[in-house]
Amino acid sequence: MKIHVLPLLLMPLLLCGCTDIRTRRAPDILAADLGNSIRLAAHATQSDEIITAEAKALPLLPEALQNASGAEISVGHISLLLMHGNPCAMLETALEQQWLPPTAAVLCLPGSACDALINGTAPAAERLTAAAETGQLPLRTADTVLGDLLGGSGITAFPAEADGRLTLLLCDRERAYGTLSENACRGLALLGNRRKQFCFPCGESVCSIRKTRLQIRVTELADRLCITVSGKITAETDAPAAAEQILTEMLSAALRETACDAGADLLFLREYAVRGGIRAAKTCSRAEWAALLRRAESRVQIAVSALETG
Amino acid sequence: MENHTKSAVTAQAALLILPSLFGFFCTDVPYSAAGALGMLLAVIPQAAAVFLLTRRREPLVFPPKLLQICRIGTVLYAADLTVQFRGLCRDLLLPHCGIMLLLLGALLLFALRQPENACGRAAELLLFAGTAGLILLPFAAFGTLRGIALFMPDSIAAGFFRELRHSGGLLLIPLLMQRQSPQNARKGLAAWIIARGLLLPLLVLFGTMQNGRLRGSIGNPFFLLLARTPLTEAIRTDGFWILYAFACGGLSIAACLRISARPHTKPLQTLLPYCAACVLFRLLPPARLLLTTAALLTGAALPFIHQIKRRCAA
Repeated sequence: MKIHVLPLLLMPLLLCGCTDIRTRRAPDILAADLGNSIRLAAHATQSDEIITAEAKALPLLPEALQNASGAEISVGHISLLLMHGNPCAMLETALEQQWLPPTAAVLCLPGSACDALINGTAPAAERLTAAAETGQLPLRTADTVLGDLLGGSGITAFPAEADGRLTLLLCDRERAYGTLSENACRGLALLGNRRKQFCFPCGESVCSIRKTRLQIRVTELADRLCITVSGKITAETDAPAAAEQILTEMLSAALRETACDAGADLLFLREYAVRGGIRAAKTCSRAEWAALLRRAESRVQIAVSALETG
Repeated sequence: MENHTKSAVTAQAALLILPSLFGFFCTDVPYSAAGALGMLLAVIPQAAAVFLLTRRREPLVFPPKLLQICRIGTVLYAADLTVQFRGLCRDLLLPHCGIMLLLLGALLLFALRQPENACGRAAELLLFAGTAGLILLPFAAFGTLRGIALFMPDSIAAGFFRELRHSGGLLLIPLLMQRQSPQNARKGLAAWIIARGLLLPLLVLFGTMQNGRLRGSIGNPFFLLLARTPLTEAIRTDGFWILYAFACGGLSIAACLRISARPHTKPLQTLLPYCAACVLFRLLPPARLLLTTAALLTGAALPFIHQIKRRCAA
């Protein structure tokens, strides 16, 4: 054997990173109650058990779980993060420390998230996916939520459960602004373009959207911004005029409750403004952008055409 | 003979591209359209400069003194890449950073004992595997791209300086292209320019559309892009790319050291100055910035000055 092949024999050192898989826990659901100290509960998939722990600070969460379970924690498989309390700081820490996959679903609960997970009353991740696919809510995973918090106007929307229904909770690092109405959530889902179907009652029948071609424009009026949603929607309906009115209400509610009332930019409005040549959008701070949005006017100009089924 | 020349040119182009690709994996500059424009702006003057070098019809010949300066610069560049390699281990939260560095040492020792063109062949293979992997990305991301994210306000400077910092190819050009015919040199340089000025900015644009507003919160935007873009719901490709980035880093450093070594130099004679530079860069980060910038600027300027002198003399 030639001596220069010897270094290659060191390659098996790569395998030193492997540990016994039986001493690992890979939680798929993590619940956290955020307060002075943080209470945690995690559902481990292999053993179908709930691990509970307490941590004094957010960065200590993985260690707390590890100590409580007596096993190495693999956090790369978390698919749902349940939270109670202001969740912004937790999400930022989780993504900075890379213990939450960016595409994990997040959900805020009104009561204790840990108790909900332990008692088995927490909503499943699949419920959020189904809500997004049926156009009840826009699909907002950890990366989308955090992206809006760090960019845009610094106000983001978390999927949340309130009064037994799924909705969106507007909040920034300091406070929560409240939840959105059902119409606003549906309007955001319509603009989000990630749904597989979108049906709603229209008169005595059900209207089903087949095709949407919506555009968002942000323009500058004399003293404020104007956010316009325009375009065409093709739907399976007997009453296109009534469907148009309902959809206009949904889109108007989405713009009004997010941008015009709270100053939240969940629809890339800042980027649309930059594209529209508004200089302030390029240079202003997040707080200034939120203030500009609160003064903005919203318009919805859509046309609904009935799908010819013949 | 023709085949040999062709493959030699391809291998040299691969050696020029690989360190740029590794630099791309190590960067923490967020993806944005402005960043991609900055990258392009940094590549344009370099492209213009290196093509001026290849305008003459005679083979490129550089004096030994110039080559010696480029050799020293290349060793410094290899040390700079090593510091980035360590940074990548840390960013990816790998548990055995020390073992990865030990493996790097073994790889360097092995590579320095190989024939001159071995690194080029390996670089070709790696680039082929990387290109195949990158081709899969758009298919996985189809349906989640948001074109409006390209309008995110950002600074051009970050992308510009990022690309300028990863211009180590300027140091390698005189060493690799020595005695090459201008036609062959032009082909190799064109591949280097296309990879840096077209493919990498396109990848940044793609990442911008996929990552949306989440840009700078996680160290490396490329690995954020991968985490955002699983191949299917069950298959993620992060593991492949982590190993790929290590392979790129290891081979880039090895190639730089192999290129900087004189024909009959013993491996230790090359490794000792390199190790000294690594320790210096680790202990004194300003020295790293100063020395690598000086090496890059010298590497970019000297071949030019030499060509201008030759032209004046003619």
